[in-house]
Amino acid sequence: MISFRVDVDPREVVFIKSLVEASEGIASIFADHGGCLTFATPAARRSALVELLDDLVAHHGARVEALDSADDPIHGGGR
Amino acid sequence: MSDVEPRIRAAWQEWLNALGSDPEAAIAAAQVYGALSSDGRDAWLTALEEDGPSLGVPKVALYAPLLSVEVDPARIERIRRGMESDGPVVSMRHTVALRGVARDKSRIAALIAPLYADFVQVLWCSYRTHTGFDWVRLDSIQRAASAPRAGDRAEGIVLEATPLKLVVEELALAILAQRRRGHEIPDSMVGFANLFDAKIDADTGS
Repeated sequence: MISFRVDVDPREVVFIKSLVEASEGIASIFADHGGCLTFATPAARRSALVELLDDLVAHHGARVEALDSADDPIHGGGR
Repeated sequence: MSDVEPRIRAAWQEWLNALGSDPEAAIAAAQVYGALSSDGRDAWLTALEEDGPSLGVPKVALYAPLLSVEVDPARIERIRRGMESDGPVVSMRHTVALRGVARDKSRIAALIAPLYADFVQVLWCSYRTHTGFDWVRLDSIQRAASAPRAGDRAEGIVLEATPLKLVVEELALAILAQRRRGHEIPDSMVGFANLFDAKIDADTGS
């Protein structure tokens, strides 16, 4: 299991949650507080989740931090 | 309108009050406003901004009929600001979704949101979840009786009652796909500002 911390504008949380829920099985998402979210997914789905996170960074101003890797925030580990 | 003759001003304000409860008055307001010149429309909006706060009428009742006929971006923005001065115009909690799926998997959805009195706002979207939107149209105000219903057809596709949450999730995918293609989100969709309101989480069964 791998996980990412994702910080977004709180107004984007429902949109992003909708995206994840519509992307069947891509990740589980947990809202910590405000716009602070945690994404978790099996390692086998990492590349699909990272693709989505790339979009959130590019189009929604998200800041992403891999919680299970010390290297590149998004692309670290087995992509 | 501070220098307007008092009887005329009283009649104007009485008519504005009627917009909150009389569907005929709201339709008439849209028709009259639509027939005005650019200067006349600006003057109408200025009068609303001056008189609106003193009336016991929801702002949406004063402005929504105008939005249905206005095409000038600056005045549309002015109308939206006026409508939203009371808070969000549309509640997603009471919004109903219809959706139809074509043979080629493209979709048409209608989100029907109560506005006030006998009026609703309808957001129409033709989209594909993996490529984005074909078109989006916002009917800012229309009678509830003429709103689309389950079983109606849109572009030949039968609309079915569909959980709102499911439609919103599909629209989120379409928005993502739209942005991946480098295209902006249609302005009409931005007008339906509470589409991703947090309250939708409590609305899975509608």
